[in-house]
Amino acid sequence: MTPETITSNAGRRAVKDGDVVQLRNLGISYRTGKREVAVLKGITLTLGKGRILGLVGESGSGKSTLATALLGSLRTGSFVSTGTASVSGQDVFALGSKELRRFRISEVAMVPQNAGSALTPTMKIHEQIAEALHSLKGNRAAQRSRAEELLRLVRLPNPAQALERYPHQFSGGQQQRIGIAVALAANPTLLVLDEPTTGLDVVTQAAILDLLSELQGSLGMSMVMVSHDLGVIDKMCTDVAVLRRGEIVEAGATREVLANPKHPYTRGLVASVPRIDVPGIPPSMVQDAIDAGEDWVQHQDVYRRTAPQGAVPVLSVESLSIDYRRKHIPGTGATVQDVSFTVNAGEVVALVGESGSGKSSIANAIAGLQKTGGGRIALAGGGGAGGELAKTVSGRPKNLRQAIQLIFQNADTSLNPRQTVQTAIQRPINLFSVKNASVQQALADVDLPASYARRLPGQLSGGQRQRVGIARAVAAAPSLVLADEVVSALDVSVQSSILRLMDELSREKSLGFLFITHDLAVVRAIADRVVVLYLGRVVEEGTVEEIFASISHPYTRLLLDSVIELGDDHDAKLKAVKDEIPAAPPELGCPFASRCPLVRDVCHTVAPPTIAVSASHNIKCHADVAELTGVSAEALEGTRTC
Amino acid sequence: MLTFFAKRIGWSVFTVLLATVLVFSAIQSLPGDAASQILGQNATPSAVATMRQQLGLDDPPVSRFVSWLGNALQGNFGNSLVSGGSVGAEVGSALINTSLLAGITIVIGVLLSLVLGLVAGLTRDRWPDISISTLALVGMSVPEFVVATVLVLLFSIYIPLFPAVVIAGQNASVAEILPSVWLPAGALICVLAAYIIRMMRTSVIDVMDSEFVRTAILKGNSTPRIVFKHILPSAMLPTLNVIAMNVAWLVGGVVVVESIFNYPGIGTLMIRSVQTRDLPAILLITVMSALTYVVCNLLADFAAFLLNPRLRYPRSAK
Repeated sequence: MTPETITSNAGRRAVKDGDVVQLRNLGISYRTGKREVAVLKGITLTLGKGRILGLVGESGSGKSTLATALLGSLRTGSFVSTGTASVSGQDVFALGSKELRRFRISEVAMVPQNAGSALTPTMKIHEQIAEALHSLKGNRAAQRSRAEELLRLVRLPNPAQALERYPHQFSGGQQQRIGIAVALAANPTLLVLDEPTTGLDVVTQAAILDLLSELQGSLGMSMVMVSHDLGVIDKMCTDVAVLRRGEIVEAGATREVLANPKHPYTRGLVASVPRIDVPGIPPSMVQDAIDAGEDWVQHQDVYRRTAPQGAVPVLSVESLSIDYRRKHIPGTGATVQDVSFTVNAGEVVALVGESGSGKSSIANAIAGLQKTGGGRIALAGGGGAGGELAKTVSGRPKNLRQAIQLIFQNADTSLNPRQTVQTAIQRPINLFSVKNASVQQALADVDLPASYARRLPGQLSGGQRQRVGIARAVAAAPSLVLADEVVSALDVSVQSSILRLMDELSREKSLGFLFITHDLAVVRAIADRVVVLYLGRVVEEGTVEEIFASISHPYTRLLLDSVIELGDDHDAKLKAVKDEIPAAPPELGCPFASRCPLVRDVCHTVAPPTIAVSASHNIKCHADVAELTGVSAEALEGTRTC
Repeated sequence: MLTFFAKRIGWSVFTVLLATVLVFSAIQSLPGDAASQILGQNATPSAVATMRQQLGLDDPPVSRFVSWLGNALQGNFGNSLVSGGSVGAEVGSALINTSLLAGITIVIGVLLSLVLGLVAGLTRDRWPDISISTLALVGMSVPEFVVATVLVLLFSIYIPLFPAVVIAGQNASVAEILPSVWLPAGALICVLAAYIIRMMRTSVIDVMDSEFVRTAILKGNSTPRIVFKHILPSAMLPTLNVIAMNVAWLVGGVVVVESIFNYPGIGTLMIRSVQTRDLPAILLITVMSALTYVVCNLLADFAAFLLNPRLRYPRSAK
């Protein structure tokens, strides 16, 4: 795809005023029964050639509906109630089915949120790219070489071999690259991206976003990017439109809008994002105040949690190992090996790592849902409930099962949709015969009105469902709560209030929280201590301040540098990071050796020693402390190109 | 891949063997034994005892099973207690007739119901779907003997196109039977199609809701390409097992339809054998239908293997 092809295409298309997208008073509604519900109201915006528009808003704001409307697509039951949408000079909702097909072939393409489910599972990659190469129709050889070229463009390893493979044979990050290649195949004037990096790890996200800005620059496409992540919008977009309940509340140049938001809602969004450079939990958004047009942010401060005094251990994990291999594969090690840490009463300990780091395996082992290979998991205190934990939950006495409770990532799928809140919370109270406990009390603990007991999960919002999930866990009067990515599915405005709730519960009930997450900003907001995992091994452990301070393990440094935040100098961030984690940990040496900028021969053969930076801060590395101090972005960049 | 095949085949052999054991023990526990069946009610106890000895009925069940199995593996399934002829030959010729009926039913029925199910799924809640789904529901709820009777009434009495019953006997040639295959086949297709149509419709609708079909539409693909390349392979997967179960039912359980049309197949033979307590024949027929079920499911597994790349190329550690 050379600049020449773009120019010639642009010449063919009669683009008026240089605007690729022109929406005039666009309204979209859907019918439910006899009612009409407006999803989008009076949307008016334009997007010039080569510019990138970010659509920001919370769930239900209509941002995805707006994005797909640009491709002339509506959900079944939806219809255009007012206005027009024109893309490349064509009124997309006035097109007949044949013209609409031609429009989708030549003018627009979409990168979906989850390429894993957006690629057809029964078709090889080359077929899926080839069917978008309409100009080369019938010429299989040319299609193949173009497909290979596109895969190389999105920096997929081994493009020639990848053509013959099926989607499930790639990792999430690779699938997203393929999704981008398929979209680029059409050589579109406008590329629409729906949360293109939301499901990905921070390092992969950084790499995909770098790739997208590079491609946009060289191909001169216009882009519309939907995201709930203000950092991503800030990095990628020239323009931004903030949506709330189907309306644009604020729009303009990205830097201006996000650095100096005018509308109370935008101000709220910006203020409620947790940040790695600001310790503490940001204020949670007050929707009523926004409706009243008040500026609530001024009266709210970031809440800083203080770590509990004294250390009464609740959970201690010693030399835990988990091995999924049925037979030994030379050169690979166990999935989880030699993991040790403790959680004290009233303390929030974060278990951090990318997908594949073994954090969920460890949580499952503690919950007794996963057989361990070796090591010891012990629970202390809790009214004589202490003791070493049997390997599986069926071998544990009732009081130990009571002492460990779980909160899940998706409250919507972890609550039975046909059971009332009352039934869901009553169950653990009855099962463990908890004294002095009631559903009303549990609901009060999570700040929900007692009348909610009669509701079904479907009648609650996402944040409320997560509160019920927490109430159900806390009603069992546990001493340890395992919280697996509990806020990652929630909107930022709700995130803060859930984090505040967890903070309160940990202090008031002296609960130990093991908080499993990949989101470092959330870690900074809530955690007292942090355990960083890479490929099932602990690489660093320390208090939250120590982890975010200048002396870090190279992997922690990579994670921190990959986080994209609002107001960063995005051009100065590292580029061309090798984002693929090896599928299995190495048998010997340091797990991070294959990606580490400080790697030396000994790293491949000998397990790294523990460097005690302070009494509470340990780093496992062969390098010395001086080298680990502020390993800069340039150093990482130099050694890790794909 | 080889282990996948070997494992499935191993399990299939085990299943057939288990079914054989169950059938054999079930027949053992039937009241009365073969000796008194053969000799009739007026036989003297001593004659019964002699007969029992001749038939080997005094041996313990386990050793009788083993010797039956040994003979069966060599193709000797024993002799009919009624005609005295070889059960293998008798069941074999009935099986050929049933296979003809089943073959025609399967080819027409499966193709027809896949097409109808696909059309219903693609036109969800519009008139083609509503009419196809209603017909399928009728096909499911009306018993096959009613369908058969209605077909006879329509196509051999009002419009005399086909013979109402088969007059040719057990040993008729294919050419003699062929004209009379169509009405029983029609009755069977009605029942068979109903289940496959409903399953196919559901899975087409599921697949059409998926993100990859949406993406394929947004890529500007033509409708035939979306249907045949993107929807059909994934929609076929859950349908395969339903097809396998129905096809196996066809070969094993056509009893009612066959006996209505007096069709000289395995079903008719089954009823006659039960009426005459022809134990070796019953045993063989039941084992054959178990075998059919297992083979059909095995074929469905292999077809799924060919359709689903996730089975062919499991994601392994790199």
